Amino acid sequence: MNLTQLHLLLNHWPIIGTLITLGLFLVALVGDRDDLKQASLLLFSLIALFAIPAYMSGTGAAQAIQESPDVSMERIETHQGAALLAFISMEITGVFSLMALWRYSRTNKNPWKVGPARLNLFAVLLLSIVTSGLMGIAGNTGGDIRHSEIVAPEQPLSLVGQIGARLVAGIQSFVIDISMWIWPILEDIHFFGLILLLATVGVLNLRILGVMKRLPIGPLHRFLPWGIVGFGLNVITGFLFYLGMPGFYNLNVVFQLKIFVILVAGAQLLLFYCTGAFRNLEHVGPGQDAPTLAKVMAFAAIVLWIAVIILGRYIPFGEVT
Amino acid sequence: MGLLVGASVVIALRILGVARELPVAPLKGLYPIMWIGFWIQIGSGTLLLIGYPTKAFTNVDFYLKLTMIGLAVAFMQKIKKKVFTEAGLTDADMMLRGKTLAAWSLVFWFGAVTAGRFLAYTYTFLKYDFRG
Repeated sequence: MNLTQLHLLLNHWPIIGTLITLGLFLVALVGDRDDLKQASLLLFSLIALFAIPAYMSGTGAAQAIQESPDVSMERIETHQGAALLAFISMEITGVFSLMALWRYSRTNKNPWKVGPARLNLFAVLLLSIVTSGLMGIAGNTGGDIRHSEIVAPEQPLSLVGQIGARLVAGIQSFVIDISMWIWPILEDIHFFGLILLLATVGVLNLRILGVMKRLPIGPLHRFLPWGIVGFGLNVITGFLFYLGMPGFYNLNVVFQLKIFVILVAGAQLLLFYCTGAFRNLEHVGPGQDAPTLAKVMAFAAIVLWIAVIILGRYIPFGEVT
Repeated sequence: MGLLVGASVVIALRILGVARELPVAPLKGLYPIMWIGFWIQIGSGTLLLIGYPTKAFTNVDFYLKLTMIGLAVAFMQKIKKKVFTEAGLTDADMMLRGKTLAAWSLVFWFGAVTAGRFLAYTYTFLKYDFRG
């Protein structure tokens, strides 16, 4: 499978997924169903995660077809611009969804009746509507690249896409051209994100495995936002590296593997540590054992995140020349 | 690095008031994990030093990094002595005793990691050919 095929496989999910989740979210809000609200928030977060490879595989697909005579480079760039805006909007939606999910896991009382929580929920609603629109434009401009049958003659390029295309170029010159120190500073931030993530995920999972048994598990969960902040820092800085030199990363097998493991580990983090699945563990007090299944999960999480770090360190050695 | 700094960061954050319901004393168990990370780093760092001696020794940043690591480890040890050794302290006592130390240890770890990362960008001689 090449990156073009991967792009076609991945790119419809964020577009259709956001729309369907938005529908589900609306139903949940109107019917005031807490379980559905949580499910929608979780789905938004997951889509934000999987939008990462959807965007990245697109740059690879563009590399593969830009030489074809019947493809307009302008249309590709417009699509890329629209896709970047949709991606950024999706990530912000994901962050707000996670914050809302977090609020949910913190309290057993209905969190939606409180002022700031309502605001948070409203923010997710607004953001997901904006994201849906941007996703639509990204999808449309993407279709225009290859489907001449849907492009009207003299059809102007999408304005949103053109604005986004400027952003793509602007970010690239920010990361690469402005100063040689931008890259090391981003790397430094990437390291701190890594430390925060490993610290919090590490201590929580080690406890689940039975190290430092005198710690109750419930309060350890309070560290998780720090890990998620770390992960967020790494997604931002990591994506900036990628936008700086996409050609370096696209065909790099080590990098592809790293992204794959991040998706697995990230999905696990979301599904098992940010949902009701974790609440069963909250009651494990000092000296008590966690259930075996939780231990398996904890072990997997530690292995996966360490694999992410090691793969990241080896990216330069996977460079394709 | 993740083990060493990660474990330190958890201790420091707890002392500074994150996850207040979590008892402080059992976090002493993180010290062995710190030491595992520390010795892995000493080992691999020494190998890198043997591989590229001029790269590090001719760079001021390298000495800055070592100083920062030294200070950070020293402060973690101070925390261990002041906060974790005496039995019967309450969590509030432990936090009060460790507050300043914990904040400084975070500053030094920040410095150590930053200095270390910038080593890759500030060296003058990556290798030196003795045969001229």
